Amino acid sequence: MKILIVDDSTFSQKTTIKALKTIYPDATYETADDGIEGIQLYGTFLPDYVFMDLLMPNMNGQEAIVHLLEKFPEAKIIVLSADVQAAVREEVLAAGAIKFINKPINADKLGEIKQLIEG
Amino acid sequence: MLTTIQEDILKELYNVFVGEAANLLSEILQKRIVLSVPKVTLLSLHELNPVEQENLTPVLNGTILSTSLKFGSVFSGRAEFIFPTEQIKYVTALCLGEEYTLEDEESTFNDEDFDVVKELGNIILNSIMGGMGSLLEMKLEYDVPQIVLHSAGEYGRTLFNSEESNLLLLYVNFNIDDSKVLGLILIKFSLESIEFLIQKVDEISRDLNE
Amino acid sequence: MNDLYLAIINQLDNGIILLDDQLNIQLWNTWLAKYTGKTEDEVKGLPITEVIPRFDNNIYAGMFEKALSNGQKSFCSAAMHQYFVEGRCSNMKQPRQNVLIRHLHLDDKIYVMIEIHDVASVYERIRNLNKSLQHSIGFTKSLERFAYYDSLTDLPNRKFILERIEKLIQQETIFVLFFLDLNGFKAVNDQFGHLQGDLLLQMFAKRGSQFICTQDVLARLGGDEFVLLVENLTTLDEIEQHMEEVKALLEEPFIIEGQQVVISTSIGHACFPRDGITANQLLNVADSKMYADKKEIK
Repeated sequence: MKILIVDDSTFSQKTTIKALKTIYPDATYETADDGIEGIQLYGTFLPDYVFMDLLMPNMNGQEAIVHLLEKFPEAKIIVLSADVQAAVREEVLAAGAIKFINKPINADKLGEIKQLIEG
Repeated sequence: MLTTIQEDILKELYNVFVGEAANLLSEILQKRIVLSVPKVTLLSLHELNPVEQENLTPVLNGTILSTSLKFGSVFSGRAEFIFPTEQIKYVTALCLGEEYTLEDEESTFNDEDFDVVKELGNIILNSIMGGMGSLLEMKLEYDVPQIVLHSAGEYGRTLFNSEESNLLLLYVNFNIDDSKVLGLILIKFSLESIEFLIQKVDEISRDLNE
Repeated sequence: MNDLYLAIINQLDNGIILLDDQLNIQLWNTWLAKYTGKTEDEVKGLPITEVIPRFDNNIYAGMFEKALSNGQKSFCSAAMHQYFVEGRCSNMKQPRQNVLIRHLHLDDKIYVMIEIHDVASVYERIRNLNKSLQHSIGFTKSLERFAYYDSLTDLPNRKFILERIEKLIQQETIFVLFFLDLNGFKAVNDQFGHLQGDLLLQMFAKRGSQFICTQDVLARLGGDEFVLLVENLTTLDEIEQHMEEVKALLEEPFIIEGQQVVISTSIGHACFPRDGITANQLLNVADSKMYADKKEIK
């Protein structure tokens, strides 16, 4: 399995990978620092899942979701954000993200992710 | 004073705290709040020259309302939420569901305006201090913030003359509707506290790279 | 609980509620009993959300939870939350309440304490106070306007210009006074009547005001006499040029009852400090030069 993490914080990228490795130790992980880089990397890396932050410089998560799905309609995007407003959650799900998860990532949320991926 | 890694970690942690505050505020006001990427800087006030002090943040040179609280005993300091006064009438009108008109700007502040700022400060400082407490794994004792109105420049002068020289500056933009409502969060620490905080951040960084 | 403390709590001019860690009411002070009409016996032991339905909301559930788990204090302003407890009479004015939620730790037990402050009357008092303050500021401003401005043209009056001149003399600022007198104003009055004559003065004042810069003053002395004060004009050439510009501007025809009326303006000037060092001296010099100008035209 290939997973792409789009987040402007190196700390957050590492935290997410570390957490995801506890459930998927054999997956391949790649990181991008903002929306633009994320879309570029998607085309070459072709990940199975994208974990997307929202608050980022250059291109934020909301814009990146729209652009990414325009180019790659099959992309499966999971939003991982500290902005936990209900309106934000609705907005990104309407834009085509398959799930919204509040930061920080923890055991409960990893369970949810596992269930989503494995059905 | 902070390495890139330390700054990145602090920024991400504060992101989560501020996100929580924005969520509560959005539930109360029934409004979508647009957050910007926060900036975090750690400074030693006494090492700044007068020009650097002046340029530190333009908000501090105007008339401002501050909500402030003292926290902690072992890990101690003062956290403040700074709010430029020209935004207050707008926010009060928004809370009351009234149309904001420019002439309101000229009128004086009343208790209602102060109460709104007190609540905003309380929500934001609660999230930050609560988050800091769990980060440091200790309970930080603090009270409901006090409101003080500072005339232009007065706040900055007091700040640079204060004893606690170490300052964590956190800029956040809260946009409500189309208006840019800029709040600035300042946390002043005692020297031991700052070392403790950095230690904790380094610990997190080490854990991550293991 | 100690009777003395209870007596004190019941004397307070705000509501005090104490909840146990299950959020059931343990204390309900006399202020609340009077305000809501519900006695402590009626509500004791009941969940807070049942007695005060407005607390039955995620926002407040979070605040209670944080108070119990973390000792966190929450302040809710009337502006953002309006009110929490309903008054006894339905015809009471719109309630407005500030609320403070905090924790109490006593004998290994944790309580949530809710303080309710009725701010409706406070806010109203302040609003009324502000209103009457605004009124009196407005009244003072209108008095000032009455004393310093001409009611017909809304231009500064004689008193205003004299005070300004004296101030500039004191500051030793260089300035020029132009004395303006309309030629042909009497004919307009005779031909069209006084109402139209007044209208002409108003149009003249309006056009003149558009011409001047912010620190210049155009004032009406009375009748068809006006004074224009311009700071920092020094050379004779500058003064002459300024005079020509004013004349040209005011020579453009005015429209009265559909007819074009052309009036000319005679102007005399006086410079401070060259032509005088008091307001009267300067006005006299400008006035006599204006008369010389007028004779020339005739």
